[in-house]
Amino acid sequence: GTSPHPPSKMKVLVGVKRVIDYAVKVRIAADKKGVELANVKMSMNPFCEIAVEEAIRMKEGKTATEIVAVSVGPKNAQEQIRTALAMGADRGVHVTTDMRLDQELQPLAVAKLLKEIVEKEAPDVVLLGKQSIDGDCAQTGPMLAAMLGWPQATMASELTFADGGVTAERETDNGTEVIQVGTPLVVTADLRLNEPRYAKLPNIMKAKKKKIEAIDAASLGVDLSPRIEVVEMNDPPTRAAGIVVEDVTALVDKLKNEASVIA
Amino acid sequence: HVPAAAAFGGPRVSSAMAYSADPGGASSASSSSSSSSSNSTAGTAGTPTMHPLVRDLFKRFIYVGRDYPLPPPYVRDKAREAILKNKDLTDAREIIEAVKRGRWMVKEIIGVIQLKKYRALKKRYYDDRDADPTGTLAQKAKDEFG
Repeated sequence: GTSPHPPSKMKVLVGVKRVIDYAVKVRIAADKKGVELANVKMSMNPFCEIAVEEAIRMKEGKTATEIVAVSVGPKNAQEQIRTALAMGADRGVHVTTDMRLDQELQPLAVAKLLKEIVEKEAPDVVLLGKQSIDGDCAQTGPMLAAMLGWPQATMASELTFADGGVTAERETDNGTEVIQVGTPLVVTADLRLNEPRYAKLPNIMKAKKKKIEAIDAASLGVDLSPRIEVVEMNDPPTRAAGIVVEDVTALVDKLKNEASVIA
Repeated sequence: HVPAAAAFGGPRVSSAMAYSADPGGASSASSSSSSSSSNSTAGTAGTPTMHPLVRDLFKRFIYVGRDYPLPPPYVRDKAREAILKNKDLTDAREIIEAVKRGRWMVKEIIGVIQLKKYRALKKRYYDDRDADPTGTLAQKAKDEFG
């Protein structure tokens, strides 16, 4: 497709998700269908932080002129939008819903909602985290790209915008892949893309002046119902203690005969 | 003249943190010395006050204390301790220098927060890959031991 804006005046839509803070020891809820959310510290998904940082750098590098931060979530998701604004985004869009972001509201539904926002905002680049640390699905970005009919650069560890397109380095299991993609496109951020700035208190205060538009998810006319049902959720098995082996022969013996990882 | 460290539940202080019984800020003379009296945020009579930069600094500590790896009271108590150490400063320049040092400490705390976070994420998401990025060790083990 053709990019809505010229190469040095791009508009970036960056998605941010409200998740349980990475450092919290997550507890399974009594019903074993999900995790305990009550009184738990919430933060912006770390991969989303990286996406926001990349968007801000695009603006600082004069590739983009407007950064819009969008979040789908409950009333408190506003905090994450404020954080994005504090990092440097220009304004926010809050798609409000009380559906749980880690259960009922699934990537398919989020992608549908984001598609509506994309059609409204007409960005040249949609920047998302590659996955969220709660769902770990890594689906929203690719699904959104498919719905829009846009190309995608997922798990991006480096982005170079030039001549109305982008050269992206992607982190895959087989190594780093370099691809050339045109705009508009969807990018999902890998951990190595950048080191996000911390949203300092003075910037949080200044960000209160920036606008956040609230839109009820139900009003966007998309089917948000879950397609996947969580049947049961359990704690991971406790790790057995490691052992020290005396020499390589002993190691090979254990790998062969106990762990059965070599023939 | 009840000093503002009362806000911290500590000993009586003056200057960098001054108690102003006068809403007009007349007693700010002792706190701000050469700085303008508008620096004194005197509330209703009887409210402890502190130099606005110091209050702002303390708020910054509280804010980063929420993300610090140790529970929030740790940073809060250390900040309180450090601020109280400088409670008797009167010269505006000295107060500003102390606030600058405090802000630098906040920056250091942010560094710790960021480092811990990204190390944890790297370990969580990339440990297997980084230990053997091209799979050569796995291949060598396979070749040698079958």
